[in-house]
Amino acid sequence: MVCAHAESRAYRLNGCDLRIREAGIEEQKVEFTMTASANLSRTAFRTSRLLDFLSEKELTAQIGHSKAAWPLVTVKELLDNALDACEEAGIQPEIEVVVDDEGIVVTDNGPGIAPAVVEAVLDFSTRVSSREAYVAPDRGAQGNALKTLLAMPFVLGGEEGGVQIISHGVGHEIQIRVDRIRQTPEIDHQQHAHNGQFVKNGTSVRLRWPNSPSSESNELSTTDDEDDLEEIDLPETDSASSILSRAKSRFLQFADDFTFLNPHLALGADWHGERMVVQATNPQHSKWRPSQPTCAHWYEPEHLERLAAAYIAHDHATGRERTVREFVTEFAGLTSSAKQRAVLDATGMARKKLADLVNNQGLDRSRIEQLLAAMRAHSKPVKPAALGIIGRDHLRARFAAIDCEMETFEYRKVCSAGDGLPWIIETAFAWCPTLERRRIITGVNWSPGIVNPFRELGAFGESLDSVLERQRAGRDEPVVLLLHIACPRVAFADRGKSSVVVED
Amino acid sequence: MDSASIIAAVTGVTKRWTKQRKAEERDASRTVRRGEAMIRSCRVTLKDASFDAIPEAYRKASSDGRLPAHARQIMYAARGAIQERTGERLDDRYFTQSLLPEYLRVYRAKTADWDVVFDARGHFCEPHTGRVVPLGTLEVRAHLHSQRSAQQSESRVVTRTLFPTRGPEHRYGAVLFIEKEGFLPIFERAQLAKRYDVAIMSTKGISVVAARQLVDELCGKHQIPLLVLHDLDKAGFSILGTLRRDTARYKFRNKFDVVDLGLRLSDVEEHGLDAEDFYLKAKRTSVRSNLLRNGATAEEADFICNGQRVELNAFGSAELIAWIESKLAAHGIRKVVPDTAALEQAYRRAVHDEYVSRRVADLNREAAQFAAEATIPKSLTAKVRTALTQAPADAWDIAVRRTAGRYVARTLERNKSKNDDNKQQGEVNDNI
Repeated sequence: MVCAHAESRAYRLNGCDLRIREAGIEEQKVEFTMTASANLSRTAFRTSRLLDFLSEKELTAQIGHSKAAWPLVTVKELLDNALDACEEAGIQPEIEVVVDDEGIVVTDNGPGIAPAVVEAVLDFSTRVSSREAYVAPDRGAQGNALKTLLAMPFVLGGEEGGVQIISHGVGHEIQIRVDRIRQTPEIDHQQHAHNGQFVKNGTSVRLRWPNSPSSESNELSTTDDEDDLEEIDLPETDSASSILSRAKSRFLQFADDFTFLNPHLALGADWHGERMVVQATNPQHSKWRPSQPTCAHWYEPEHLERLAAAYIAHDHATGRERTVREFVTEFAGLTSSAKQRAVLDATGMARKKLADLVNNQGLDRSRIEQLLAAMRAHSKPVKPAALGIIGRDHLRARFAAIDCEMETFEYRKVCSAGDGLPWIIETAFAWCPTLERRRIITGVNWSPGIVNPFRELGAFGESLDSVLERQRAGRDEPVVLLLHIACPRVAFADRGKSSVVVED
Repeated sequence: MDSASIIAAVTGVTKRWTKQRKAEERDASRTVRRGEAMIRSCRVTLKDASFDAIPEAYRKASSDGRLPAHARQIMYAARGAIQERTGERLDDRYFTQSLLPEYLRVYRAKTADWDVVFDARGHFCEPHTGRVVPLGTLEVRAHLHSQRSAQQSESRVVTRTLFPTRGPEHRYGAVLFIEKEGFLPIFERAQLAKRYDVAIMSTKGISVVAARQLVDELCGKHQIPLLVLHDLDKAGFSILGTLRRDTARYKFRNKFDVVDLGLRLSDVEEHGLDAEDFYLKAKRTSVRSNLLRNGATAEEADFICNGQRVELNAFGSAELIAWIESKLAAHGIRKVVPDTAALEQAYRRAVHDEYVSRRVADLNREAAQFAAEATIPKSLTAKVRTALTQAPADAWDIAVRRTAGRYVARTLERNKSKNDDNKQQGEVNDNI
């Protein structure tokens, strides 16, 4: 039976009266009182959100992959970051991945990470991203990759692990500890001068993997197909070291996958002395760089609204007022005064502040739509080729390097720019008799997927795997398939970016 | 970006692999040849495999070179190895008509002593003699051999036969080639060959090597013209061309006149023949140059290149015969009359034959009486069985004839002795 009251609701359950009183909306809090034979007035305990972040469940949700794939997540996030940093600085990326007794180290020749940025990363209450609000063909866009890596050693081995970052002549030793009584995490961040090779350029990030395996440890599992990694059912008692050991084969292959998608990348990988080096096939490879302006045609109103809101919030925090003209200037093809004036005249937003677009419900959607329409009208769409084409020659070289029969090599490239949104699909295939099983290299915007991200294609949800099965290229076939898409606006179905949403 | 584009890209790059794997599913043995099938440089073509297999196949088919080997026999001997290596089905026609002739041409020196024979693909008919030669390697070879070796020395009793001829000499004055076999009954009914003393050669389309070899010998050695009847189309002019000039498959040894008696645009217009449309598969420019090379006029080349053709079948039978006869007359084709020496020889032979003919009638009557009076041996069956045991390949009536022959010989000998005795006795009596 339910009895409604003006200020509270009362229920009778199992012989007990249950009364729920709703608090003010602004407090977003609900209090529960229970009337029974014995009364207990419960206390609302406060716990740290950071501690949630440091649980396996939460971190798995953040990363989008189970523990078995975390070594791959580590190399993916660090390589993505390193490549982005190098491209942004116009440097040909030379990256070294090493797995040794202490864990995983990724070293690049990029511009480095300033100490202030490292400090900002340690603030787990905020998300810091220079990608998230923009629509662009970026490798990553969530702004929490480095945070998840900082948490990973702690989740895997408690206080045993840690992270070391060396850049800009500073060595950062970062370790997370927990005050078990107060249940609060404490981040121990020690800095020291570092006079090694990273005084000026480059970054070295070391994940001190808890109980790192030695080179003599047995490899528990090798996989040739990324899907298998997801199928590794780790027992609860599995140690962090065995997770890393199991991942060896796939780890090295996955690092190698980056070289397939990035013709300008020179990569060295070392697993306890077992070394692999891949030279760049095209150091001058041209692709869209994160530092390039984005294009208005890549945005839908909700995307532009998100970007404008991010600017307004950022400006508010930094005490700045940005005009609509300044906002428009950031877009490709709208840097000239004439173009800006044309957009502002068309929208009647000359001399308007960006914050003027805010109304009671947030940003005024109609004005955002008006602004976007004007920006599109006065700028040209970006041609697909400007995004960057991996190319037949590079893929031919990489397929040859892994002993494919090159006379069976096939390559297809499809480009389009429907509605101003450019995209490129590149596929390559070859028979590789030395393989025992199929190898798939899938990637979005030059970043390989840990698992095949094309798991739902078309109205009937056909997966890439089922297409390949139908094409007699199932997982037991000795073939290599590469599928890469480049597009400024790629939707993922999950937070870990493991599944691409593709239109019918 | 849509799913269909991604799926199309993936199926595009895997297409060749899928084809190969499906083939392997149908035929497990293809798995071991995957490399050859998938890798272009490793792929063995039908031609490569055939060229490798032909020497051994010829050796088998020809019993180590002791007998002629038919092209199809060689094909059967080579087919297993070729299909095994290529994984493809060998088309017998492709092998016998293209691959094997090409091999013989490419390895001319190596195959100089090979005796490869091909199927007959047409006929050659002499006028009056009724002699028909299938246009196959062996048949043409035998015909030419008999023509070279046969002399005019004959010992004949049977009379009233034609003057013996071998080949054109004294028999026909031209060879009429037609690219279709179906017209022969019409020609026969119209007695075209007999009325104009022409030999008729017909093939199914382009003339085979054996046909060209035959006209080379007949027309070249005896200097008679080859008259070519053909359709007004690309194939028709090609047929005319291959009979006029050397090709990769045959080089003529003799020079002779090749007269184009074929259907031309002027004939089409004059006789109001209906043209039919056809689809020109090859490149227009190459077809045009080929037509001009084979004797077509520019107007005819344009007509054909515009997708039109006219076959000889456009004529009714009577109109066709009339049209051919007009062409024969226009080219001076007339009945054959041998030279005086041959005529005299033929005259004497005819007198001889007539004489024999009349005497043979008397002899037949005498023989009939002799046979009727003959005594049949009592043990005739046993004698025939004994004879067949001694000569198992003989027929029973040969054995009977042999027995009868001995009887006739004995009887005639006895009669002769009796006559001689009677004659001697008569002389003695006369002397007395």
